[in-house]
Amino acid sequence: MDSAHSQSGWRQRLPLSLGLDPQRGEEFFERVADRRQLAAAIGFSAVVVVLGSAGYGATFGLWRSWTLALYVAIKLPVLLVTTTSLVMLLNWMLAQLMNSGLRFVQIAALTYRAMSTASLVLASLAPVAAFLAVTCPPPRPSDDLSHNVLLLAHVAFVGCAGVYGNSTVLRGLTRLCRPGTPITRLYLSWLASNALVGCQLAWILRPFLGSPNYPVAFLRHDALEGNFFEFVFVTIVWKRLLGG
Amino acid sequence: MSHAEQIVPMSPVSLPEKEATDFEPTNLLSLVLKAPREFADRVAHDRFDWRASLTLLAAALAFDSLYGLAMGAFAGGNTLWMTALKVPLIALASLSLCAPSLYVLLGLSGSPVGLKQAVAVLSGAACLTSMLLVGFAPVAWLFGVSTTNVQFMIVLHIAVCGIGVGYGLRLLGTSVPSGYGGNKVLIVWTTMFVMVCAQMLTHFRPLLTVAADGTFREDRKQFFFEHLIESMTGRTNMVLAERDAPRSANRDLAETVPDNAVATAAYLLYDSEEPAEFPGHKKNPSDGAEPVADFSEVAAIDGPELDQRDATTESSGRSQR
Repeated sequence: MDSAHSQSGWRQRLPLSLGLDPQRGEEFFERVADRRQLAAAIGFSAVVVVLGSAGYGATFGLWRSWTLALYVAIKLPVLLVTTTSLVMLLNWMLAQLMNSGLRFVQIAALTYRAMSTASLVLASLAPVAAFLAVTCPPPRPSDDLSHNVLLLAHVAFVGCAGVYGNSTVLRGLTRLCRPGTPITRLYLSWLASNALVGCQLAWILRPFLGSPNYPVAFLRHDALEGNFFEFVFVTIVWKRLLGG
Repeated sequence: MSHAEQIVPMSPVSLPEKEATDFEPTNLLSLVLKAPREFADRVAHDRFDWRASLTLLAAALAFDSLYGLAMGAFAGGNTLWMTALKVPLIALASLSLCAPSLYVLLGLSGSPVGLKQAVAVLSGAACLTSMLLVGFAPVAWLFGVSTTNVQFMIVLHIAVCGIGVGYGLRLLGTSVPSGYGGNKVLIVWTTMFVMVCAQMLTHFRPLLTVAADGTFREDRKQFFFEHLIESMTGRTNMVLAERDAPRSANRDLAETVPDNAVATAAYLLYDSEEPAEFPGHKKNPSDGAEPVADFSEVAAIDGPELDQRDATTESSGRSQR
């Protein structure tokens, strides 16, 4: 009887803890506002981030090989947790500059919560991503179609997860900041800092999908050479699109 | 008996009505088909238990199997049981892959459905889809047995499945809090679901015919759009193996080459201008444009020696080639 009760309680509590409720996790924002049990909240979010992104990461590398699947299952949680941790200080400073009244621990709880929401979405999309990886044509150096289609699918999935994660940040800021705080400006500055750090970390940690033209490796031999923005603007925009 | 006694109205006798439980399969099917609003209401109020959902799902798989049987009638033979097995597999696998994302995305959008409700909604949608497919099954069968045009059959089945899935997804939208109007994410999920179905179909291809090597499904991996383009342009490596099986001559001939029966039938009946090279057969460029099987002689002859003669003629003709 007791175990049945505890089981049903667990079944009800878990979706609430993950924000899968009609109020979309308003209880969590109240907890952050009151600064109640924030260490536990951050720990729970970190666990969700690691498990969710590891599950999705495996489907990323699955197309190329099981080895790469294992590598990306390790690298994707590292990417998300490191990005969140590295930008925390900058986000706190920006929040102070804009007089939001948020404490460091509140910002940590909010950013980890956003990342856990995104990871949850990624985990829910993992079965579809795995199916695509398993059923699409295998990697061939001369044929980029599979690579490009899969890349597009992953961009869409990660984009969808990002939208949910960012909406959590925006709702949190709306609930938690002092009246008069330029919430949109603060939100956009956080977004920019996350993008700046996240893109470069992803560049260092590549390969994720595994181009057929390169061997499978945990990190590329030139991992610390160049950067993401240089690649986008110089190689893609300047050289390929503008013929520079 | 006096007159007064005769005109006394009889009070109605209350007969014990047949107890109809809500979760009888027939009630469930008519609920989904005729009263989608009530179905949605029951799901919303969590009055749809696991047993009912599983009943709907089982019915959906059975109906899908029937539609698969009608699809398989196009090529006949082994395609009948293969497609009858493949269609429910495609439906079940697509639903299973997309169910977690429906649950999570709706929950994060503020329109949460419980696990039980999510299963009920998906089972109801699958059941309505399959019922519509069964409704179209006689049409699919009729065209299947009376046409040889693969492209036409593809378009027909896409149209039928589009109607079925469309109604199923409409029921899903009705059953989910706020529906499509209030949940833009449901549109995203629907797009993903349709693409997963298409890719799943490609994974289990061919559905209308048998694979060139006679196996359950083709091994070569492909995207659904590649496969669709190849199918519509007649470049697929598929075989109309037992297309005209009732013709006895053809059947006998196939039996003469038991090791390569599929290839034999394919060689005789593949009606493309450029037949593919089947296992054990090299195409001779000189006979590429000929009608592959000419039964005019067979039709003109009647009698017990028909089968023997025709088989011999065709066999020798084939060996010369």
